[in-house]
Amino acid sequence: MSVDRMRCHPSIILETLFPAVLVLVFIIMASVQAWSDLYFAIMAPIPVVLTMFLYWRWSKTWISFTDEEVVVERDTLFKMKKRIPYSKIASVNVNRGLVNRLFGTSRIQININSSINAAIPEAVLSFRIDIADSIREFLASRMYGDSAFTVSADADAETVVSIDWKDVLLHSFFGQSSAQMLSGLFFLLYSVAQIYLALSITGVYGGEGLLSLFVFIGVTVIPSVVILFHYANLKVYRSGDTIYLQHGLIRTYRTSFKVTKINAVRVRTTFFSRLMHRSFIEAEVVGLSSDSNSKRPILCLMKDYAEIDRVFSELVPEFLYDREAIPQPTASKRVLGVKCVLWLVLIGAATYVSSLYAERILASIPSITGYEALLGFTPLIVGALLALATVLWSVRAYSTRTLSAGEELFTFEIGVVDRQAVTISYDKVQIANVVRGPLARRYGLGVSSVSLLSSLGGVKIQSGYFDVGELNRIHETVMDRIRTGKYDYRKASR
Amino acid sequence: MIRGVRPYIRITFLSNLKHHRNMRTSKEFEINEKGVTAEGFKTLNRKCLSSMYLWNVIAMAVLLLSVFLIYRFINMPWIDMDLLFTITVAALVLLAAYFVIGPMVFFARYRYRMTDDRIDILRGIFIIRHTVIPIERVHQVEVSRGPINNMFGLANVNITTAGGMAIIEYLEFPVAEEISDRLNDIVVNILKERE
Repeated sequence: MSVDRMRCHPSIILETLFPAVLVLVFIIMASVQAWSDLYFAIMAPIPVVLTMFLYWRWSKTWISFTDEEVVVERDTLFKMKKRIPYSKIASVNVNRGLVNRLFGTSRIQININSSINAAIPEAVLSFRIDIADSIREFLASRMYGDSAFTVSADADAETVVSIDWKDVLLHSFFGQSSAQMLSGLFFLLYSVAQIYLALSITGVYGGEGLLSLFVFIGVTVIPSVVILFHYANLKVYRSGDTIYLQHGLIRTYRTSFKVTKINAVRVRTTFFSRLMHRSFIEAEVVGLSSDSNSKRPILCLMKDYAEIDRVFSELVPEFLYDREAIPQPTASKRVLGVKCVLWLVLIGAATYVSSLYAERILASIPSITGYEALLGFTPLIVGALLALATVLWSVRAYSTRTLSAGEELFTFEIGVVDRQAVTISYDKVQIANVVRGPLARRYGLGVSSVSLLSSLGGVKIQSGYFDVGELNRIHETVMDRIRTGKYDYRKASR
Repeated sequence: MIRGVRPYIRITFLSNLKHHRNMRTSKEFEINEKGVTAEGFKTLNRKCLSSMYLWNVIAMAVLLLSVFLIYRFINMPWIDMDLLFTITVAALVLLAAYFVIGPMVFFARYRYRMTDDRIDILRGIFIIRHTVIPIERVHQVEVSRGPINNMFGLANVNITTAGGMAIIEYLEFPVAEEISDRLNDIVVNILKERE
């Protein structure tokens, strides 16, 4: 790689300009009634000025790759010289948006190890595809050593798991949290009911139910479509110690990371995915989040349990161990039971107050008749449903949470409706907490909460209720591994 | 009272209350004649009570002023004002009780320990949290002094790791500096050993 200074591809001007112009167009459209010659005279030059500014910034921005670091220099009003040592780079991602496709370029995003800016790329550069690929390969060889790229990232390597359109569709809808799915369905049903009642009573449709329909679209449909576009054509494979991910329908996302950069692996199920006997795998990877759509990398979309086990063992065998799941002790039933009773009292009080208010409001409207009068029962129905959900949640919360502890890894099985088994490396635990509430203390119980560096910055993962002695073993093992040298910092930073 | 040119204003405000010494504490918080627990955890200086109480008085004053302004100037015809007033008064009484008792419990249950390879913080009013930070994971150490803590010569030590931050609060300034220096020395030594 040359150490000469180079500029990004000029298309980066359009890439930056495009969203700004969209916002401007939206503002103009939204204020269409306020249009006047003066207004237009003020707004019209903005894109031109912005283009000139971006051109100026582009022409004054230089990138160079030395033997030790990437240097990004900018010599505008605000002078900047950013040095990113190769040893500090956590990941390099390449993706292509609409503008990139039009100009035959790729966008390179460089992330460094840090809890503060893990979610924000340290540098975003745009180059012609061939240059971008060679830069990425050069950076990877500097980060991981030459052996990391025995197979090129864009080689036709065989994917570990075959994902078809059915898998992507199922994942995009049923991989969402159950709360999101159920609230979306509630608004859909409410919208249908409103439309049906409007048509059956008056015979004329006056736009009833549209708001609920929009909420359903916003809460459920749009996130599903985003996931669908994002994870379509998913291809995942491993070469040596590096995992490669490639996916995307319109924009292609290509990501690679060393297995040593994975801090935890989550096998997740939602209520709906369990009905289909499916789960999916996510990884907490240091400094990987390169775009707003990707919260944490998904190693495998929703597949049946056996397939997920196979993919797990092929992709991340480092996170496999003989797991002996310890269930929550019987005493935790009492803690959960008392918490349940407290919630029921709170729900009861809220239901009582809401019912009084509903009654008062309905009494003040004498014209209300028929099904509208039933609205008075809404707080009672909602209160009863919440109470039922609380009881069911408390009952299930006892049996679904477990703790497993191996020599190098430990696992928290958590969640009640949406569940996940999070396998964490002791060597990646940054801060360990044992939290004991007033009730749990009486029974010698507590909850463990460990802090890790994730793709989104610092993240806390919390266990169920366990014996404090068992939970203390987690931080004792972390310390023991450091003291005895079992924790290899070279391995962790490679 | 203010004494000469001391680096902070010494206010004895409530900090000399003795009764919290007798507050019931479990064995893990009990301290011996050397001022440490059986496991070597240290306690905070009593000046932290003054700092917390002063902060609580300011917070309560701001809250009362806000409540007064809301009742005086905002008209909410759709809300039962009598019910809201009862709820507000009850909430303020509970909060005031918390503001009085909270600092004493906080003081009685705050313990910290620093060894050559780890930092332990044991704290909590209702919920007890035991935090363990391996020094090997420490990225940055910072001593911070807010205006109220500064009045009492207190400071916090903020310990940043890759996964988040932990704080040892209400330390006397020289103690905070000492902990910070010691932590930095250990971290620098770890890094040197690895070179």
